[in-house]
Amino acid sequence: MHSITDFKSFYETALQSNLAELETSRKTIAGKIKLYGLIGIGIGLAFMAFKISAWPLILAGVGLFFFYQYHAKQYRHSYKTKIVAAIAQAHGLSYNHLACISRADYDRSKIFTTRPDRYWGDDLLTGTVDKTGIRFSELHTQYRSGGKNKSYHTIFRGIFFIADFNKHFIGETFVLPDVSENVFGSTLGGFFQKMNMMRPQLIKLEDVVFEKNFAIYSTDQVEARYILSPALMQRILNLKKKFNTQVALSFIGSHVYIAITINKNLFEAPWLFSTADNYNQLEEFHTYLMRFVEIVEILDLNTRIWTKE
Amino acid sequence: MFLLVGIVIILLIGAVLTYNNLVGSRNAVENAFGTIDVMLKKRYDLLPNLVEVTKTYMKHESDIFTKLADLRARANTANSTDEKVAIENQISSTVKGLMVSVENYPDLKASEQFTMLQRSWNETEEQISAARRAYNAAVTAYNNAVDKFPSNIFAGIFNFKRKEVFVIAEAERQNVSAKALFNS
Repeated sequence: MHSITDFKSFYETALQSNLAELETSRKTIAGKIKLYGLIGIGIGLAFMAFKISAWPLILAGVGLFFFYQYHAKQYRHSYKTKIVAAIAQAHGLSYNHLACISRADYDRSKIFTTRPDRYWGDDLLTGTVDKTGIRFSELHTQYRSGGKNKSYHTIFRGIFFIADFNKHFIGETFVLPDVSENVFGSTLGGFFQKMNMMRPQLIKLEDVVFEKNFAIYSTDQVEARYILSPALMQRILNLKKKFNTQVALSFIGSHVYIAITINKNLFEAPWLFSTADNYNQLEEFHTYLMRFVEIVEILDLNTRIWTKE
Repeated sequence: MFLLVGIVIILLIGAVLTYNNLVGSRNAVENAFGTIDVMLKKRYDLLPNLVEVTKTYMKHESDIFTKLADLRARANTANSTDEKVAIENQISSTVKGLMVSVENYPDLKASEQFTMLQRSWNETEEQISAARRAYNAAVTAYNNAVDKFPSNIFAGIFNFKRKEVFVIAEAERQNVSAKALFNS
């Protein structure tokens, strides 16, 4: 399923009946909430009007809130397990809306050096594209700043993507967004890159455009170049262009880890009081999934002409 | 007086740092060249296996095998770096030709042993090219140190000379033409 027309026909054949079912139950619940809300608030206001007590209104509000929360959760659950899971399956992926990329995987990638104090995510998708195993999920990590007014700051928010890499390697190689060179220019920025104590050696690659976009660190000068062939550098640039956002990669333990910054909560059900059958939103899910699956193709991970099967 | 001493000390520290940087980058170049040698050795070790496996199937390509045997012997005796590089380049293109002619031998192409060898060959080729790129990067860093002010002053005094980067041989730059190989 690659094109929008494909998705449209998939939507008509596979999704619409489920959506209609979901829509009916959504309408019933939304109707109930509205009805109970009106009754509860009406009675509460009446008590207020006759200056008897404010409590009934407060109680009605609280009760309504929990009633809404409970049903909204149920609705989200069935939306995700019925609709989003079906779209994922059409892309050859299995979907678990409650799971996410594990903290161990996140730490293993070493893309972010700040230790997160808050770590959460959902919408884990796993699958195999031809020969390449992939898994990805939404992830949001934050650290707490010290001092008097403690507050949380985002380290990463977006999609964290892990795939098997098609070449053998033993070291660690990082392709990170080039922050210092963008801010300080190439000479001074290059100096700061070199002085980065958290990272292994700085690697200077011959692709000028790639160097402008990324700072590359690796434990091994030759291995870094073995992984980052001229073709792969071009592909990583294409990947960045495609997502048009910050992309960071690491190559560790025969895997490639990719952190794609996306400031949006993906694969969520629409609000309980609007229609479940929102085609545009579903198409957006499809487009995002397609792009994530395409990473394998863009990075050419299925080419297995080296010793790794 | 103190000012003068201070300036001299700073200049001295600067001189030591610049000189050490020059030596460091020269050693990096030597180290990178060593890596290429290691990778070439790896590929060199694969060669007899490759010949052994393909020979039994490819009875009609004896020319290629004689050429490879000859190249291998010459690589053993080569002394200068330039000569070494030239021979290795020839090995590369000859084996590429061999891989192309394998298309004519479906049995060989399907053989698991050959597939594995082909993969290993691809891998060493890729590693050699990575090692070359690493070497070129080290040479560029060294040349920058030799040419740029103020380290070029020390480079002049202590006789640090520019080094040449690896360039791919003319023959390798052209795509392998299957037809030309079969005719040769």
